[in-house]
Amino acid sequence: MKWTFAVLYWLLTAAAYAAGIALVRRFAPAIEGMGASQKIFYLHMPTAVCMLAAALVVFVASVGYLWTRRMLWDDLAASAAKVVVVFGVVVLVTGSIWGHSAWGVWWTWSPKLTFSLVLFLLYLVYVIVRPAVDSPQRRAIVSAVFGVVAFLDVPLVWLSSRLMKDMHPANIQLEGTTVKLLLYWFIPALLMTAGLIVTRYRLARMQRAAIEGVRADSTSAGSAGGVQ
Amino acid sequence: MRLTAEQHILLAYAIGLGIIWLYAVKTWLGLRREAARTARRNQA
Repeated sequence: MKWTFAVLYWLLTAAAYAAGIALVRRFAPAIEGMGASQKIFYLHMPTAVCMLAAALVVFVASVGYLWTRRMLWDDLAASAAKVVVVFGVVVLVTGSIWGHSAWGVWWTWSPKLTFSLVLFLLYLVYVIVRPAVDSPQRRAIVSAVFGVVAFLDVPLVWLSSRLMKDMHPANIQLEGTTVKLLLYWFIPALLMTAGLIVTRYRLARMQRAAIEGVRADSTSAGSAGGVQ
Repeated sequence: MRLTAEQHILLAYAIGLGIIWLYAVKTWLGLRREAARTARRNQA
């Protein structure tokens, strides 16, 4: 039953993305000041917002772990952090391609781009360093503290182009079809974000249960080791 | 090499959605494999 729901969910997500592409091809109008490749906007912007939303999940789950010391919060934070990294790659790559078309350069050290790169690197470090800590409790504490601190970059990404001089578009007046298309593109992006976090979380819970099962077995058999 | 606006759009969507869906498939297969492993362990 669970598998059926999951298959339907992913099919719905794929259909929503496919419909989004068709809608952009058919209806997306030109937006003044956003370059000839502005159609990238419909993929880039919702993915960026969902990346920040996943970072918020990491933050909330990290606080949840520090508050309750329950491992399910640690698993949720780690699952969402991986989604931040994947979405971060997509945001940086699509933004870079858009920048190349609009500004003629693949990369520029503008505040928004720099803070976005820092955000991606912070969560990449989170994901890479995590397995290097052997003790599960210590790993959870280190990850939770890191998850809280890394979140400080999120407001900087969100507000940088509003508060500082930046090439990156900000406060653009969108209207009519553009707004509807943009709002539509949040549907597949949010479905994908939620689907990835939930699937990753379920996988993490299964792996933890398996490791704890093996550890319990080895302890009852008199082994001092167990699974790292 | 000079890319047209249309090629930039195509490239961005192909790479962006490609990365997202590859990761989704990898995650989904990982979950299925772990579920099968758990089922085998519970049977044994």
